[in-house]
Amino acid sequence: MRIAELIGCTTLCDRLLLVLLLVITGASIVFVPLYLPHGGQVRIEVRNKLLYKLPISEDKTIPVVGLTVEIKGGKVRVVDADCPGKICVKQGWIDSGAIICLPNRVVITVEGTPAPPKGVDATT
Amino acid sequence: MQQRDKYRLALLAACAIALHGFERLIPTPIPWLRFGFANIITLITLILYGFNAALTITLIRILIGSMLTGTFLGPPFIMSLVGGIFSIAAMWAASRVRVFGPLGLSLTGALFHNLGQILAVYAVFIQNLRSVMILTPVILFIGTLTGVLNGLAVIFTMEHLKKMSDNVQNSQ
Repeated sequence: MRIAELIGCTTLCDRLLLVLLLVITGASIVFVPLYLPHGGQVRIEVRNKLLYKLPISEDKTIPVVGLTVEIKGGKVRVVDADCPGKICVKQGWIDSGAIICLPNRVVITVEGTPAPPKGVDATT
Repeated sequence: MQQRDKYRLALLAACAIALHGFERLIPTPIPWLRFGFANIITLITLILYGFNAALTITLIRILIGSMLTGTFLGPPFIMSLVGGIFSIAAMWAASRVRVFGPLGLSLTGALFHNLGQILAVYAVFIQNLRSVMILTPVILFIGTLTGVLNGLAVIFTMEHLKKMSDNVQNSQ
């Protein structure tokens, strides 16, 4: 059977449905990752013991030993620290990887899939 | 139902079970990816004999197919049962509208088979919207692909059947 005959066996609605499905598939590939709940988890460990395990999508500020940790907009940072170097504070916001404060022996890691790049969020 | 129709249904069910079994032997990149070749038989039955016959064949295929492959009453069985019933109902509804050819019906069937399976997975196994959402694009894509393949197979088969019945009529 030739291609032309084959196409003749399909109706207009068949072709429309195929195109529609392809469009929906393409759109879902693009848009679903954007609307996924950001799955990353923030783990805060002190002296190798897990203190907190929080979803990165929830905004929250928590005191941990000598540090103040802020989770906001899918990112984590250390707002303030009582250590002299304040390397952890200077590291700023992270959405993957880790912030480590050696003097207090605090390890803050973000695990799970990193959040996809976002354009404008609600606060900006 | 006439005796001859019963034989035909049994034959079609046997074909469906054979395809159901054979497609498990085809290696695929993702373990749970199936082509759903048995849907070719379901669709042909639906076109030739109507809803009841197609539903009968699907149920026979899923019951006996799962017993042959050793998944009876297991998760794959529940998923193919829900998917099968969804797909047959959707294809029947689409065929009532009378605007779709075999390709459109096959696409509808594949799409609703996958929707049914997602629902079954969500309701029975994991209440995790996130993992379901991650799977959706993949499932839509695979459903479209296998829907086109099976739809083409149905078109070829129907054309062949038409030619054969023409030959029979001409020779009589």
